[in-house]
Amino acid sequence: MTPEAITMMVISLVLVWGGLGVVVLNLNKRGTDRD
Amino acid sequence: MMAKTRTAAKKETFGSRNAFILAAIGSAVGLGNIWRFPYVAYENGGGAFIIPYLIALLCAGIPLLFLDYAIGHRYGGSSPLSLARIQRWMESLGWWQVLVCVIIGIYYAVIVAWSAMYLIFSITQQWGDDANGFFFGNFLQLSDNVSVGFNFVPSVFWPQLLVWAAVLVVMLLGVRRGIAGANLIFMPLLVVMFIAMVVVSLFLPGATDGLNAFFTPDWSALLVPSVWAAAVGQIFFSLSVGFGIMITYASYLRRKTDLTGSGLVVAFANSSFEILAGVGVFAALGFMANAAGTGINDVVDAGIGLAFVAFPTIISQAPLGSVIGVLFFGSLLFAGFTSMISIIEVVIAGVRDKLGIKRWVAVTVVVVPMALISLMLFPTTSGLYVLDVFDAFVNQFGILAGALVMVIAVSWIARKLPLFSRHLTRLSSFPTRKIWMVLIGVIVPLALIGMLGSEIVAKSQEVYGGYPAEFVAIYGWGMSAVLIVAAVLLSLLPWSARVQPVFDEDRADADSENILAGHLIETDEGVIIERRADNEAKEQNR
Repeated sequence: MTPEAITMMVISLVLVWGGLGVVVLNLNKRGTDRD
Repeated sequence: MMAKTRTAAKKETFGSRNAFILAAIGSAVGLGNIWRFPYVAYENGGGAFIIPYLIALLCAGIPLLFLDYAIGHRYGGSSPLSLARIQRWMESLGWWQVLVCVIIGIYYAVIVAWSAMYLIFSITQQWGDDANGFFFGNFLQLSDNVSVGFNFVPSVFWPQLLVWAAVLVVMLLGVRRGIAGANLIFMPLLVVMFIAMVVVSLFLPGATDGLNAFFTPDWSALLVPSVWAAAVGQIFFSLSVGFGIMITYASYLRRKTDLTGSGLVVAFANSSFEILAGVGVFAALGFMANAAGTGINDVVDAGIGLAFVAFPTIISQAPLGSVIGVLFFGSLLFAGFTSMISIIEVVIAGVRDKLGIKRWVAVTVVVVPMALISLMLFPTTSGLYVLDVFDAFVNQFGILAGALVMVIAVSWIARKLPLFSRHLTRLSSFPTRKIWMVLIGVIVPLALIGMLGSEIVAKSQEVYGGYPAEFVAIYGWGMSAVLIVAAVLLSLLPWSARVQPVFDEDRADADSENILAGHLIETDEGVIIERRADNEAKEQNR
């Protein structure tokens, strides 16, 4: 793979999967709807 | 010790926030994630597409998702009931969304059935050396005559009947055991199978060529308006927003639920799956191009062509081809099925609310006729033509039009955005501020107007798909017009005595505040009970 393609793949994966991680952590910090 | 008094009626709920999130992800992650996103991204700048895509997600997709959640959660009903509770005339908009779901539901079933059959075909690679000829000729027995006929194809009819039987069972089991239960089983399976498919694809010879083609950025694409429109379109259709699904699902949530926090998880999970799909699909296409000695551009495809022609070709040629086939079509089957049940639930909820009937009656009244129509139209030698025109007009044009009218009605006619913003912020970990109101009130309508305008122009300039003009006039334009008239007529029918489209905004706010403050408790069934001291309860019992 070209360095350019690798960079864009990493950026894409980090942004969406990292974003998912952040929002899941934020939700869990809040607790559940049973609190 | 506390005494309790019932103050609200029992309703169906998901039981927990996580069950709701899983069901909402199950709805959002559908066929479009697997067979539409990779192609759209590749055609619109490759790696550079991530920029308009993320901006569209943040500025249009997530705000619309929050709007759907706010409407469904606050007004606690199906799409027609919730919208009627905002303003009475908006009920017809809710029925428009329900009818769009009827049409999508009846053709979605046949695609799920094809996926199930191809899952089995993958084991023996039944298509042989000619995947294209097998799909259109042997399997669908597609007629050259573009019209509605009733020449049934048994190999499609029977699996489609089984799909409807499975939908019937899930829907009869209800929201908690049926919808949430199905998603609890199928979503983990989907994720595991799809990740396995991606990993196997990455080891195919030529996979890196595919990834190069997919991720190499074309920065000049960022200056092309159609690329930005494609990004908004992809986000809009992928997130299941604007056609009643998220309104219906959010109505099954308990009052004390983190709406925006849950919405962010759903939106990012959907996008995460899409990016993964891009990796898996293009790794496999890279192998296909490598094996054929051509460029990616010669093999890239989307939709039915990608799933039922390109992938079978890859499966025939690849090492561990049958494994890839089972994983790919299994993913397509589970993604399609979980999306389909969310589409059908919109219809069931609408009918149930309007007639004030029990769930099993509503399920029977909705699913059986839909299944009959679906089984009459699609497992036939001309079913694919009808499917294509329905999809082009009702799915793309219908959802866009419905969403646009809803956003304008809520923002500019009912002027409910400040109220919804307070509702979302009161309950949620991620506050919606003025920026959300600006996005929903201005940016999203402009984006939808742009997309709808280009859709209308494109479909008016030439007859869609090269089909006969009368065929498109009847099943495309005609069907869209019939749905609009039917939606208005349905809104004129009276509501049952049990369910009324009236709503006390002040009482809803007070209930939410009291639940948050601990003065009221909401059970798993959505029943609001009052928390009172024992001596007070004894006093009242005398």
